[in-house]
Amino acid sequence: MSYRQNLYKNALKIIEQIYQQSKYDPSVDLYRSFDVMNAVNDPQLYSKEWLVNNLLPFINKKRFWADTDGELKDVLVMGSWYGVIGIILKNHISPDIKIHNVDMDPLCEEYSYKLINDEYENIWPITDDAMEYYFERTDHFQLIINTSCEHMEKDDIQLVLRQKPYNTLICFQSNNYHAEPEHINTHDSLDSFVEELNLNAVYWKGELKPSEDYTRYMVIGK
Amino acid sequence: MNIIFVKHGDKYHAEHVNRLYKQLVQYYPNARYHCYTEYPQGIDEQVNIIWCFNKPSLKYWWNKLAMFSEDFPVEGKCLFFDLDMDIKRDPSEFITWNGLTVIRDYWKDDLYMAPHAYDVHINSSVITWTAGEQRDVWDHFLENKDYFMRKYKGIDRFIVHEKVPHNTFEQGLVNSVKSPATWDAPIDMYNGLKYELPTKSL
Repeated sequence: MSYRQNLYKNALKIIEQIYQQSKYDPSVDLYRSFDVMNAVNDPQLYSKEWLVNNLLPFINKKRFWADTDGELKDVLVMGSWYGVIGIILKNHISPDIKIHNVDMDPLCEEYSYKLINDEYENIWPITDDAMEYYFERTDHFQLIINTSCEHMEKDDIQLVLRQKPYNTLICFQSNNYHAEPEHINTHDSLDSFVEELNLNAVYWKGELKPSEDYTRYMVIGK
Repeated sequence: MNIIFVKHGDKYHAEHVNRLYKQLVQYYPNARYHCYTEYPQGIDEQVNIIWCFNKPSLKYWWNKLAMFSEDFPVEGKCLFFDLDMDIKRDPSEFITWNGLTVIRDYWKDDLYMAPHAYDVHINSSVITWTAGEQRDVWDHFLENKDYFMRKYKGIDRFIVHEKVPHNTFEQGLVNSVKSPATWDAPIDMYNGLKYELPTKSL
């Protein structure tokens, strides 16, 4: 079974569970089922596969992980939602690499475990403010992924980049989906996003149009 | 008493604030007028500018919730108006302070609403509260704001479905221009319609 089939199977199981529970429990949040559907829709998966495909060449080069004996050991995913990026990544990397999925929404942790469904090792869904989680252990991660910079304050993004050890690789995405009320930090172009990040080194940058509504931008660098 | 407006983004401009201020000051000459905004240019100098918080950054209507923050610099009774309101006469007979008080939206009385539509029968175009007494609303919003902004199309739905205690004004305060009321209301509201004003005075 492909990773997508597995993901859809597990997502359907979650949705069924929410629906069944909601019939007799008024506290069950039906919107969660829609939110899980959105997390695995085509544009979302397309964007995350694009990220993984372009990140893998870096993950496979020992020189990027000089501080940890040439091995990537710990990845932080900031604002991980239901942890889909970790699941896709885990299909291509060593089971020993630990992925810390951090999101402040407590239900993300519960549903991330259900999407993983014991099929992957070392993916850890964690409920916390991703910034606080990171600042308590900045030396712990060799790679930081953030696919939702459009949700984050500019200052906070800059703070992460200033606090991180020099060799920590970052893979950040943003977009030009200005109309969404929760998108507080969108960009009109890839160059604008690159400029905001102001990295010491940009190893890769690119854009993708996963749907008619918006263009996604991605930067990999230090 | 504080009379508060919120202007964020480019849907409304300073003239909306100024017009509303001029209409209301006839009936509330002793009130303190405030506008919570990220772009105060052109707003009447009699209206005190409260700059939008640096953090968290919010867009559009979600900024209304910041009025309930303990950091929002007002004290005492507060009366909020959306900028698409047109004051026809003194609304005081309907305005009361009893916890968080909002409009009951009569124009949705016959609308079918499935539970998962999260639609509601209130409208926050006019709100009264006492400063400092509603800080739980803001704090609760901040606990999971991105999820709330995805789930709810606006703060009315947030208030009802997150079980924020609230009351409604007596019927008759507003007339929705889009769905005219049978009563002679002191306020016309243009919810769901464009409410354009000339900008030449700016």
